[in-house]
Parts: sequence; C-alpha cells; structure tokens
Amino acid sequence: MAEERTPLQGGNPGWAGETGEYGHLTEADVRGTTYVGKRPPEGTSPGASCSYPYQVGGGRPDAPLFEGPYRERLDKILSRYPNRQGALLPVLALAQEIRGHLSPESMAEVAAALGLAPAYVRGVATFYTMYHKRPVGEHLVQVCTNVACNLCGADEVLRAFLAATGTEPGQISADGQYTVIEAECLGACGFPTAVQVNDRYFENVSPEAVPAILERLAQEAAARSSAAARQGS
Amino acid sequence: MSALDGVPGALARLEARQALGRPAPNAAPVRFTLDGNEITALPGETILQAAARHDVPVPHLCYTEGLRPDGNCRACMVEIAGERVLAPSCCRYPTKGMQVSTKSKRALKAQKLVLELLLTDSPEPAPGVDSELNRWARQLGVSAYRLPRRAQPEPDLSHPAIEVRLDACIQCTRCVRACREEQVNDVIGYAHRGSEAKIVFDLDDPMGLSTCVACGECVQACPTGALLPVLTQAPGERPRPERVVESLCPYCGVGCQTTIHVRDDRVHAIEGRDGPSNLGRLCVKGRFGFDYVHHPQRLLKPLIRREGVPKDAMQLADPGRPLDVFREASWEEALDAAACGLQALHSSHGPGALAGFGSAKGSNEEAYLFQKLIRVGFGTNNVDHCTRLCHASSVAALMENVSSGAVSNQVSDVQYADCFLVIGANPTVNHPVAATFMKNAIERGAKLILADPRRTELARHATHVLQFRPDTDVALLNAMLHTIIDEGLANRDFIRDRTLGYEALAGMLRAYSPEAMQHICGIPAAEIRAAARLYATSPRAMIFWGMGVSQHVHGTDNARCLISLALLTGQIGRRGTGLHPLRGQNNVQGASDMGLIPMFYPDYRPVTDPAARAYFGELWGRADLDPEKGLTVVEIMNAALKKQVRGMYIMGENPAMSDPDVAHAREALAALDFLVVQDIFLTETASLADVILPASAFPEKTGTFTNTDRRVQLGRAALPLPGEVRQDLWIIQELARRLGLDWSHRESADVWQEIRRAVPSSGGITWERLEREHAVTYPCRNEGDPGESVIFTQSFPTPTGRAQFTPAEFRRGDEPPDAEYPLVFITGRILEHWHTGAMTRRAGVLDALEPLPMVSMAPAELAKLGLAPGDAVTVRSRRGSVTALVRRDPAVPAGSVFMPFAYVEAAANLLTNPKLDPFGKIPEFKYCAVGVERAATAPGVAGYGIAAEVWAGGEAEARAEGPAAS
Ligand code: SF4
Ligand code: SF4
Ligand code: FES
Ligand code: FES
Repeated sequence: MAEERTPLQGGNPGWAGETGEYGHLTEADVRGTTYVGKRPPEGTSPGASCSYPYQVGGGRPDAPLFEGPYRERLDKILSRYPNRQGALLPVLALAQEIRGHLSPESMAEVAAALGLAPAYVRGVATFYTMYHKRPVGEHLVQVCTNVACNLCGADEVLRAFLAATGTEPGQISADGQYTVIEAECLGACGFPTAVQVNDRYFENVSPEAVPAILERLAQEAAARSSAAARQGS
Repeated sequence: MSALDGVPGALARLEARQALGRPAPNAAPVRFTLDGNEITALPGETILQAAARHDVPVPHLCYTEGLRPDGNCRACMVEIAGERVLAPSCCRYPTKGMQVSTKSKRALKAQKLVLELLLTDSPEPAPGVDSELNRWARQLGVSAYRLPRRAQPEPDLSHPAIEVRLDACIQCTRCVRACREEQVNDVIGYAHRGSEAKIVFDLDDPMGLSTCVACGECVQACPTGALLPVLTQAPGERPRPERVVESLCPYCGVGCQTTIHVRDDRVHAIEGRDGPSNLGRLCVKGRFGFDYVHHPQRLLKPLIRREGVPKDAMQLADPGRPLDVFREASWEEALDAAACGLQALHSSHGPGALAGFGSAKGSNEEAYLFQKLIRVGFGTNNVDHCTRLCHASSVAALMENVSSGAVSNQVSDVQYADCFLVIGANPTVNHPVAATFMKNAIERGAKLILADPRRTELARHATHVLQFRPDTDVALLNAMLHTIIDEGLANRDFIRDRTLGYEALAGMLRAYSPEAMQHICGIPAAEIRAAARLYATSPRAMIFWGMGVSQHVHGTDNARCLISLALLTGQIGRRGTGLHPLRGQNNVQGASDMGLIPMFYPDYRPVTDPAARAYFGELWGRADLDPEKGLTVVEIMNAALKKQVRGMYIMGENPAMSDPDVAHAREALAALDFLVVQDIFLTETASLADVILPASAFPEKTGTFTNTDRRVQLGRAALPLPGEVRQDLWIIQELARRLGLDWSHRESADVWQEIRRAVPSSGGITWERLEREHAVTYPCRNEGDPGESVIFTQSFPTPTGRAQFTPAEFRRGDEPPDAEYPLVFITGRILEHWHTGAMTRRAGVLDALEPLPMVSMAPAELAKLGLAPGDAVTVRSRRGSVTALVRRDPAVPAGSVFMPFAYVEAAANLLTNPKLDPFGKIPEFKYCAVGVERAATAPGVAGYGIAAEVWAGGEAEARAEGPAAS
C-alpha cells in the first residue's frame, strides 16, 4: 500500500519537529502516525487504529458501516477490549472515518453492532467534541479562541478563516472543503493563535497567514487526489 | 446483628447490596459523631442514610433510596474534621470516630449554592408537583436567585402516559439509573456536555416514539417533576391525593405492592411500594392501567335478561348498551332469580348439572368461599378457574414428581443464581418486574439460557439463545438431559439420595442425543450441549418457565423434562436454584391453594381421598361431599353443549374470550339453561347470562392474594363501591344463604381465619401479621414461622421423601401446519394488555399505547405474502378467522404467526385448538395451523371506545414498523 508522506517545507512555523537537529524527519515520523491523510482501510498493526486521528476527510455519509476491510478493523478493535462497551470509542471513530460524521442513524448502527443501548451510545458520542454530530468539510479548521489565543487576536484569525472560506461558523464551504469552528484551549497556549486542521496543528497563526495555510491545504489535497488517481489508473 | 433489629429494610438493603456484588465498606456498625452527637451507622449505611435515620436532614437530590448513589449534584456536602475538602454524604461511608458536620458554615454554604444555582434555571413547579428541589430550598431558606436564567427546552408531550418537561430537569440522572440500572430498559441516556447536557430517550427521540415501555420508573424517580404522569382526569392541575392506601397491583403474578393515591373517590395515581417482590418497581399496567375502575361501562346495577331476548353466541351484546338485552333489577330480585334458577336445575337434574368458574383475579377469601359454595351448596366438584388454561400441566407434572405444585424458589432468588434458564416465557412482557430482577442478575454476572421459538427481548441479555422450532420442547430438553448424562455432569449423590426412577429416565434418553435431536428442534447439537453444560456445571442454576411450556398437548411432558433437569443436576433445594413456573394471574397460586379446582380441596387434598373428604365434611358441615373429581374448564364447556351441565355460576372469568375455539365455548355458554355471571363489565361471557351481578373491582376490596412466590399479601380497599355494586364476598354469601346454607356474613379477615384451618401450610399466617408486614411467605405452619422462601431443602413432600423422574417421549402437537394452513399460530400477550382485555382495553393509557388488534410475523414471511407492516390481514384456522393489522417482527420465527388474545374484535381464541393435554387438561393454545392472507377490509377500531381521544393518529403505522413490543 503506497503511503503518502508529507514533506514539510515551510508553512508550519510553529511545529516543533521542524526545528533543530531532527529537520530530516517528516511530520508523520515524529507523530507516529504512519499515515497522514489517507489511511489504508485495512489498517496496520492492531494497536494503531485507536490512536489514529479521527478527522479524516472524504467520508461518505451513505457508505455502509463495517463492511469488507472495515469489518476486519472492527473485529481487530473488538479483540482488544474485554467487553463491547470498552470498544465504543474507537468504533465510533471508525464509523466517523467511514461516514465523515456521526448521524443518529450511524449511532444506532454502532449501538446495534456492539449490543449497546442507543441512548448510551448517544451519550458517549455527544460528550466528545472530536466526534462530529453534523457533516463537516474535508478540512475542519478549529480556531482556538480561549484566553491566551484571544489576547493575541484569535478573533481576527477566526474572522479571516471565515472570510477566506466564505462560511459562517460550523457551515461547510461551497466547495465542500472547509468547516471553520471556534475551539476551546488546544493546549498550545505558548504559540497563540493555535489552529487545528483535522489532526494537524498550525501555531502562531496571524490573520495574514490564513491565505497561505489554505493554499497549502488545497495543494496537498490536490496532490492526494492526483496520487490516488495515478494509483487507481 | 442485633443492631439491625427494628430497622425496617436495613438487613435487606445490606443483603441486596452484597447480592449485587457491591459490598459495603462498613460491614459492622460504626460509631461516629454527627453534628456533635455520637451516633451509630448500621452496616452498609452512608453518612446520609445514618443521618436521615437520626432525623438529621441533609439536602440531597441525585440520591434516592433504592438507587445507586451517584454523587453528582453535590447538594449533600458535609464537612469532615481533618479533611481539606467537603465530602458528598450520599456516597461517603462513616468510619470509626469520624466527626461530621452537616451544618457548618462551609457545608451550608456549599449546600445552598447548589440549590440556588439549580433553582435559577428551574421554573416554578406546576401546581401540585412536589419538587424535592423546592422543598429543600424552602428548608434551607434559599430563595434569592442572583443569576440570569438560561433558555430552557420545550415540553415533549408525545407520550400518552408521561410528560417530559426538561425545563425542570436538574440533571441528577435519577431517571437514567432508574431506567438503566433498576429496570434495565436502557431507554434513557445522558447526552451532550457542559451546559448543554440533557436527558435523552434513545437517540434524542421524542419519548412517544422511543423504545420506552412506559414502566414509569423514571417518573417515580424524578425529584423535580421534569418527568410527570400525564393527567387524564383533570388536566392542568395536580391536586394532592386526599388519602393514600397501601395495596397491590391487580394484574400479574409477580405481586407488586402499590400505593394508591385517591382523590374525590377516584384513583389518581399509583406508585410502586417497597414490597419484597418489586422493591418499589412497577410496569406500565400496574402504574398506569388503573382507570378501568372508573370506566363508564362499569356495571352498577344487577341485570336480568329481558323476556324473550335469545342468547346468541354469534352476536354478543354491546357492553356500552346492556339495557338492549337486560333490564335493571334490585339486588333482592336478582339474587332470588339467580338462586332460584340454579336451585331448580339442581332439583330437576341433580348436582352434576351445575358448575362454577371462579377467578384467579379474586382474593383468596373469595376463591375459598366460592369453591365451598359450589361443593357444599351445589354438591358438586365441578368448579374450576383459569389455572386450567395456564399452568395446569405444570402443576400436574410438579404434583406427580415433587408433590407440590408451587414454585420451589422465589423470583428474587435469581440474584443468587449463577445461571438461569428461561423457557417458554417472555417475562419482559408478562412478568415485567420479575424480568427486571433477572436483568439485574445478568448485570451482576449470572448467565441466561433463553429457550423460546420467538427471539424475545431477553435475548439481548442471554448467553445462549435457543430459538427452537415451535412444538419441539421435549426434543430440545431431552437432548439437554442426554448431554448431562452423556458427559458425566449428572449429580450422582443427589440422584442416589433424593430421587427415584433414574434408570428408566437414562434408558429412555439414550435415543435423544443432541446430534439426533438437532434436526427436530433446529438447534445445532454443539449449542444444545453448551447450554446443557452451562446449566449443569453452574454452582447454582434456576429454571423459569411460562405458558410456552404448559399450553401444549404435551405440556405435562414439557414440565416433566424441566423437573428432570433440576433433579438430574441437583439444582434444587438450595438458594439460587430450583423450579419456578411463572404464575400468570395475581392470585392464580392462591385460587389453586384455596381448592378452586375440580380434583382438589384446599391445600391440594384430593377429593377422592376419604380422609380429606371427612375433614372438609366436618369443617364445612356437610357429610356427603361429592366423592368424584369434577370436570375441568374445557370439559365443562363440552358438557354444556351436550346438556350434561345446564346451569353455571361464573365469577370474574371470561371463557367466551379465554377458552380455546371460543366460538364453541360461546355456543356452550349460550346452550346453558341458566347462567349467572358476576363481573365488573358486561364481558363477552356476561352477555350470554341470565342474571348479572355487578361485582367489586380490585381497588374496592380488601383481601389476600398469593403471588407466584407463594407470598400471601394484603390488598386493601381504596375506593368506595360505585352505584349499587356490592362486595364479591357479600354476593357469594348472599347466594349461599338463598341456596339454603346457614352462612353468616363475614369479612375477609374472618374468612381468613377459616382458611387457616383449611390450608395448614398457611395456618401460621395471622391477619394481624399481614396487616403489619403486608406479605408473608408460606409454608408458614405455625404462628411466628418466618415462612420458607426455599423449599425441598432436605426432602420432598412425597411419601418416600424422594422426587421422581418421569421420562417423557417426544411427540408432535395436535395440528401441524399443512398445505391449506401452512403457518404455526402462537398466541400470547403484549405488555400493555392483560388477558382478554376487559380491564386494560378500558384503561386510557394502555389502550392509547396499543389500540388495535395485531398479529406479528417475520419480515421474510411478510415479503413472501407481499404484505407491508400495517396491512390488514385475515388469519384463519379450521375453527374460524379474524382480521387484524400485521406487524413486522424479526423476533417471530419464519413459518409462524404470533397473536395476542386480548382483542374482542379479533379474538385469537376463535382460531385456537381445544385439544387437551391428557394429564393437565390444558388446551393447546401455543400451537395450531393457520393460513394468512391480505384482508379485504380493515378491522374497525373497536376496543371500548376510549383510545381515540388520547391517541394521536399516524403513530399506529410508526409502531407497526418497529420491532413489536411483544
Ligand atoms: S418509563 Fe420506564 S422504560 Fe420508559 S424511559 Fe422511563 S424508566 Fe425507561
Ligand atoms: S429528568 Fe428528573 S430524574 Fe432525570 S435528570 Fe432530570 S431532574 Fe433528574
Ligand atoms: S488558549 Fe489557545 S491553545 Fe490554549
Ligand atoms: S445527593 Fe449526594 S451528590 Fe447528589
């Protein structure tokens, strides 16, 4: 399975891995996520799937849950837990990866697959902010507007993202690429304003940096899709 | 543990906690200081509980007696000397010498702040709603709200029984624990987070469309009125009850204790009471199915058939218009007419021409006097009741092999079982509160083997689901027995010391290997073996069964196999083991104990036994008691058609709905020369009567009722009698006097004194004790006996003291499907409707929840017939046909149709087969052949005309889609 490596060339000034003696490492190497972007659906080691970032663009809301390779991944996840309840978080993540978000129908299907009460699944799914209860764009842009970032102009950054993507908070942009939301502290208060796009952090973001970030995301997306097309042909 | 003496429930609490695997940290009493006073906490008590017992109120909202403490509201904070932070007293256990202050400045400040914050967002409680939040706020003097109020959700009024007003919700999650941990219905969840946290039903569905089974446990648990019972009587206001009466639920054999709230002489609400069989829990029938007593069709005056109006078995009288067929009469006239009519037949045709049906819904006292009247006044043993239709075969097998027809262990014993088998029973529907204890046991770690042709609700919790082919019970059970012997899992010591007949059983079983039987019962041999192993090797295993076992022509054989299972493995005579045929009616155990059966006097003494006859002849003052066994229910109907039985007295039974092949039963009733019916409504049976005596309803009478657990419990009258209605006891005694017996009028308490002499196994139960303790388990032979919850511990009450193995060969049901009638017809019940529907279909909420006659079928079967859920179908058998709406239900196996028998407009028993089991004389309700096709016309919405108002249309189809509630 061809793996997509994202070489890091500028554009992510605050990312610590790019500084100092480890400049040769890729982001993927440092984060331990072998697959940034697209993940081979059959997964890798059994241990990898639960730590894998949940927010991966490209889910299809009408895709069948847990079929083919996804069934195998489900079984792998189940094999790691003493009971089915324990497997709920990673299974929800898997469902979100497949469908892009967790609709009530998806929650019901997960509940049925695990033999849990729908109300219980609903409670868990709605507790964690990293499960999307509504469809989101290919890139989910979370702008921290908590104290540290706010003092350093997070509101401006948020507005810049909204203006550049032509959306209101929480909406999906017309091209389906972006959803911009406010986030609470992302734990990167030393590098305000912090912005998280899917599983990746952008730090020290100023309103001026917004077009470049979006440009970079667009390029990467284009590269991914042409790679996919090459592979498919 | 003398410290526990005199503290009601303390020991039970500790035991229950330990049974649930949650040992309390303080297993011994603890001395500690509370607000400067030294007090003692009992084992298992939290600081809050100990304080409450010493009249030191500590505010609490998320904790309530009976639920697991959750510690989320923090209204109960107390200060503990030496600790930096305050502690929640609801989930903190005292330790020796601990110094606790509930009223220190810090503690009070914390308590008040919680109340203030919650009050800020809460609306003024609706009039009559007793909000615990407001009560505590008043007590602590919290009133000023300094913070702005947040926007609150709109009410959800989608459910016929329960209003959801989450603006009053304080997120205490009592409802969540009630629904999930008590009832294990798993409907309510707690979703979202932070300020958006909210109670949800399933996936945040409107309650009326959720999978809620309306047990109302959440309503009972909610402290603020966020969940409220819908007011059907006086919308808008919730007046306080004028009085509350401690009574019982009138429906099933579980025997839940209730508190009846009365206002203006009407039942206003019902709550679960902390009885030993229900621990405060109820189901939808018990909690919401009470307004039938006030239904406009209640019979309020005696009625006599009008001259010249014929009895038409095909055309039953309209229960709303009794005067079309009957005329009103005074009690004098009606009783005289009843007595004369019966007396005349007695003189002209002899005692054998008379018969009586009593009821398993009446009290022990009524059942006792009724059978005594028939035996002494009529001079015949032709007296029976609906036990014949439910567990007669189980009782036959139990009497034959262990010499006692009652359960060996109580439902609550399931808490001690490691494994339990539920076969031919659907307890979540028919014994809902018993089912909650089974589900609790499973949560605690017990394993369930569920055997039933339908994949019923408990399957979700089961370790093994054996969905065997209808009618093949004996094949399956014999294969399990075979496995146990084959794999050397039998309990040799038990067999040697306590049983007879093992060799014959083992010999017969050789032919029943799972490998051979799998083709008959449809369960793979490996699965049969695994289930048998689990049952046999569990340290303690229990068996529950229901009508799916008993209502077959081989019902007695089915029960014999179950008895053998317990004997073979020695799973009997200890806690957490044993045999439990789940009794259907609230007093079916009691009515049988009272001798309301044709072959036994009270206490199961055979009528053919001269000693027994002499004893009762003496007690009752009639030397020439009938020495012959009487006829059973279905036999009486047959004899009526043949004009051998000509006159009947029927109290509270409805054979015109409940008997198999009901068209035949109705003809038989119509053929009687004289029929007296005593009931609360113009039932299908009453419409064929000559004289109707208006009877008292359950909440109008005081008497004892014996539940499935052999618990004798006291029901107390809560309402005055409406109209000219009289107590059933009075009516029986009046009739007796007119039949020439010198009976004086006695109340239940007096009659009970006589019962104690007639039924020595209950002889030690005094009326005073019943009044004090509400429930006493028999055997209780001498005053002061605690009552034995587990029997057969040392020996069996047989002449040898040993139990008997009775081998049972597999044979087919009477009427297998064929080309013309290709489907198997299985009858049963749904959660909302009780038996023939006379009560529940007149209860507003229940009728609104399930207003229409329905049958359910497997999705594949529907597809084959080109039917969609909600279509009207005609189901026909060799005996008749009915039209109902079809429901898609994956729980029903392909090749069969399931139908509840509660619907007068589509009486399932028009189709059933009256063929009897040769031993128990029980008809084969669970198996006959039918055909199904699309109906030309839809069934009319019939019932008794109350559903329409409460029922917002459209939902019928929505429900038809989901898995049926059955
Ligand atoms: S009524 Fe019973 S089943 Fe329904 S939500 Fe409440 S507790 Fe759960
Ligand atoms: S609905 Fe009632 S019981 Fe449930 S969390 Fe809210 S206040 Fe508590
Ligand atoms: S405040 Fe923005 S990352 Fe912490
Ligand atoms: S009652 Fe103790 S925390 Fe709620």
